[in-house]
Amino acid sequence: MTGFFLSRKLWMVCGIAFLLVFPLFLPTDIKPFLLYLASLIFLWTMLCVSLNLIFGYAGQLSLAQGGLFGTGAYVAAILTVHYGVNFWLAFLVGGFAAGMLGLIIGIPSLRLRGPYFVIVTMGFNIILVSIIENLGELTGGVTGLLGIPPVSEIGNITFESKIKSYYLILIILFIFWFVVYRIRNSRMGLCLNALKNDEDLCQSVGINTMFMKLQTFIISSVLAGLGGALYGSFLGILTPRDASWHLGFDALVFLIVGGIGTIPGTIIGPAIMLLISELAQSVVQIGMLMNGLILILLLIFLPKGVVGLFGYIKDFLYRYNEK
Amino acid sequence: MAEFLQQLLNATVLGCVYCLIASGLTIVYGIMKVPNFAQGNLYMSGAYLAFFLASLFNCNYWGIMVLVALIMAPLGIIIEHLCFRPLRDKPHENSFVMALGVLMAIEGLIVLAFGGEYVEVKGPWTGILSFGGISIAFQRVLVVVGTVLVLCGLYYFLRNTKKGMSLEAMSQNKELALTLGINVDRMTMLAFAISTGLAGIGGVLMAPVSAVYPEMGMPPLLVAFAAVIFGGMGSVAGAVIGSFLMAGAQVFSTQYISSVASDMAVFGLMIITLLFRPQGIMGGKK
Repeated sequence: MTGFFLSRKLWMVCGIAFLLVFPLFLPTDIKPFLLYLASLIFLWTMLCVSLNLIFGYAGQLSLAQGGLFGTGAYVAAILTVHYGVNFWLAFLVGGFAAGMLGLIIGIPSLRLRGPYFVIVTMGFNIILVSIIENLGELTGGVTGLLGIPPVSEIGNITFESKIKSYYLILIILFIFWFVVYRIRNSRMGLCLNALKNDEDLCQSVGINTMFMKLQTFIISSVLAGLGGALYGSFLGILTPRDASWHLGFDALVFLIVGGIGTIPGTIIGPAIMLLISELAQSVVQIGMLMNGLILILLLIFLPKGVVGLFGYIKDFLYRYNEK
Repeated sequence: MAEFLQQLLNATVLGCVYCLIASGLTIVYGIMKVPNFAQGNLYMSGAYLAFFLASLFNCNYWGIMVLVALIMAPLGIIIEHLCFRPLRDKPHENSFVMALGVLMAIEGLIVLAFGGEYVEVKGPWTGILSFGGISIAFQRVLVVVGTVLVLCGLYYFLRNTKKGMSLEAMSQNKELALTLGINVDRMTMLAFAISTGLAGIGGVLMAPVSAVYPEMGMPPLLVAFAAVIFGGMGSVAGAVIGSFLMAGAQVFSTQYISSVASDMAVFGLMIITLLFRPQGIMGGKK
């Protein structure tokens, strides 16, 4: 019986079912707030999925993810606000723009390894923010871009109510997960695993590691950009802070809390951290300190995050059963 | 001409600050192969510590500088012991992430203790020196003199003392240093203590002439990274050359092109270095 209860499939089905039916059983007074929070968690999850692909699977710690997320958000928002483009077109263009930026960042920086890659991606992000701050009219400069319209309708389904936008974001998140899941279980996923463990060895068996890394980085940029485009229209306002490397940084903390290199980790991390920060809102100043300390403690004591903790519990239960 | 000389002077002062941060970065990188992202925030905490000590005891600026260095160096050892030592045998990425965690924790701690507001630190002399159309605040002269003294001390230490030479040896080849009986653990501690001490002194020197606020460490950190990459990671001389070059690039591109160009210039130099000479100008074989 233990085997059945501990099987991965069961937990996955339960998790998905929970996400799908969760809004139906909420008390009406706190429902709008909880739906808002859940949608925000999903949007952060999208950023985590993108970081997880490039860092968790390919082992390249990119600190430009926040900038790519912001690029998608800004491109989509500029198109909808200034040019009145339909949201869904702007959404796709946002993803495409982030992908192109990923290509531009990736070609020089992916040639580098280890710390150099981290620093260069962080540098690109800082440049990007200073460009956004100085584009004046187009991006609204330091004050930001206001009045971004919400997601427009598909056919005759509108997404004005909180619950509909919840489901919309959830469905897009499922698509993200599906894409990453397929990558993980393809030949490319195996290559990425090899690449993460030993790049030289990987090269020696005939894998074009540069191309592989670039491909992965572009896919993760597109995911970040699409997530960003949704994020912009969800919040309705964007400031250069939404493109800063702090965003990628927070996503990194979330990912390490959840469990790096795992799909459930990408949602568990943001869920835990955003809930904590909502509960601790009265003491907002401790946010940074708390994030830092959580990161330090987890890296020392639980480097695989909450998902890793489940792994330990599972092992323990199996061993307990055998006795 | 006066304008050019003035900018050159400004670049020198800025370069001095970058030097103090970059040489700490490069020493730690040489020993541990970890880019210490927290270095900028250690510089920031040096400035805040100066503010705190000045408000606590009414002691003079020099006393404060010595005190800050004496507090920061053990702090570096504590950080190394608590945060980096447990990760020594883990994958390398964990150490990068740890450095980011330390960065956040320090910034959070400072915000918690002093709030996010700007604070003011008084320097020992407040006058302005001017000659031939160029002018410079006394404190900035002090920054240059202080940096030169500290760097001379560092040079002497690295070249002429046994500890310093062990440090150099370790950064060149860790295994070989180990076989020669160099205590690797102690050297790692020493490297951290030196680097945080340098950052702290940099903070105290700059505090009277720059805005002191919790995020003040980030902009110099990136430039210092660019300088270290340009000079070759692990090389102190390279870091010093790189720092002055980056400061020059920043100041002159701001003056003659635009303020946006200053980030671009620094970063462009870094990218070009990485593409054509990844080991940096002073770096040896890769």
